Amino acid sequence: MSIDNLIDDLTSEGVKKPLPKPFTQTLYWFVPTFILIAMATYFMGIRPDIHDKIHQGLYVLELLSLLVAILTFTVTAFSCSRPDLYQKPWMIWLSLLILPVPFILMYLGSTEFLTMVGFHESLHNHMGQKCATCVTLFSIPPIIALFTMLKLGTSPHPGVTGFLAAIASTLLSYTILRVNEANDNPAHIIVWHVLPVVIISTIGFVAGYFILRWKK
Amino acid sequence: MLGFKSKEISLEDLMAAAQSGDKKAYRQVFEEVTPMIKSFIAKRINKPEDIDEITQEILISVHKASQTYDSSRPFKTWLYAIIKFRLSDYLRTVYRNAERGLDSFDEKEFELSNDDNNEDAFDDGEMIAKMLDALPEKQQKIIKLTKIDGFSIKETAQKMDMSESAVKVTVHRALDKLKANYERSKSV
Repeated sequence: MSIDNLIDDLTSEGVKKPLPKPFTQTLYWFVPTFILIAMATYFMGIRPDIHDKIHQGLYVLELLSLLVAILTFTVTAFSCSRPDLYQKPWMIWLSLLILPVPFILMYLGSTEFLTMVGFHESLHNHMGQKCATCVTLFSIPPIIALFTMLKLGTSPHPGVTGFLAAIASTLLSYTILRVNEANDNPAHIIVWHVLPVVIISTIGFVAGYFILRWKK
Repeated sequence: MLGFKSKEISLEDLMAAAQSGDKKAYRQVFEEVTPMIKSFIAKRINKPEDIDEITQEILISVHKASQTYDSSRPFKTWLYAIIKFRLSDYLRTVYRNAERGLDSFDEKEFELSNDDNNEDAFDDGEMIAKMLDALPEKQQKIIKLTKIDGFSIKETAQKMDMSESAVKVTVHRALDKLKANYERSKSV
């Protein structure tokens, strides 16, 4: 087949309908997900000390920074689903800069210090497994929805895109637990909340490589 | 707006028109970008005979990624991202084949052309059948479906769970290989 014949065939198929801009796609994902998460939080229950916590500036800042991080990671993931990264490659670096902020604020807002004893106790606290399970389970529907939407694009960096999608989704479930669980022990949070985020994000990187890669 | 000019219309505007359903504009986009792609690739590969094939793959990729282009952004940047991605795919294949020493299909060509019984034992029809068997399995199946069993491109694409564009490119490559092998074996 000559190039002219190929052009004839491609032209007859026509251009596919353009995707919405990354920020619009983010809203399409975030709004229903947020409603789902809010319902889950309502049914799971809110921490009994919430009235005190919302008067703590650092706690409110932590929640806001989580929201900003989730939105940033999602917009970046959608940008990365374009061949030219939506011509904003710097968003990946911005996302990585934002990532530690909620965890720093969590630690600053905690009344306890991080110690090896604390880590040891947290590891042996089997109630923490429930937290890790919740972080994992609540992140699954948003991850599936996000991967499905990202598959519509053509990502030249599928691993990075998958990582960003997974971390955005798991940060959502991390946020639920910060609103639900009245335990601000940083060792507990790192072991049973943050570590699942890290593990799932790593799995998201690998899954992204296979699911989101741009096939011929 | 930055971009290449096609008469008075930029590629950005052409692509925007194409995304609105203007097929003529879409054709013009392909006609404008094809020489750009060829000249970019020609400077970066050693095998001039592969330029057309890579160009076709890039055009198909442009088509498959067409929904990701935002007409408010420079077209050239988007296009070159696709070209570089596909070119790196091609180079990876070249390096992989270089490490293996021989392309697996070339090995079969070598066996066919050095078969002492080839001219005595087979007539043209059987030679073509043998060359067909030497094709990679996917190409064999598609050639058999489209050229022997008489299925259309659309039907073949459904059977093989591929896009129509991918089937067309595969047919083209397989026929090129068969033609080259046939001419080589006739000249022996």
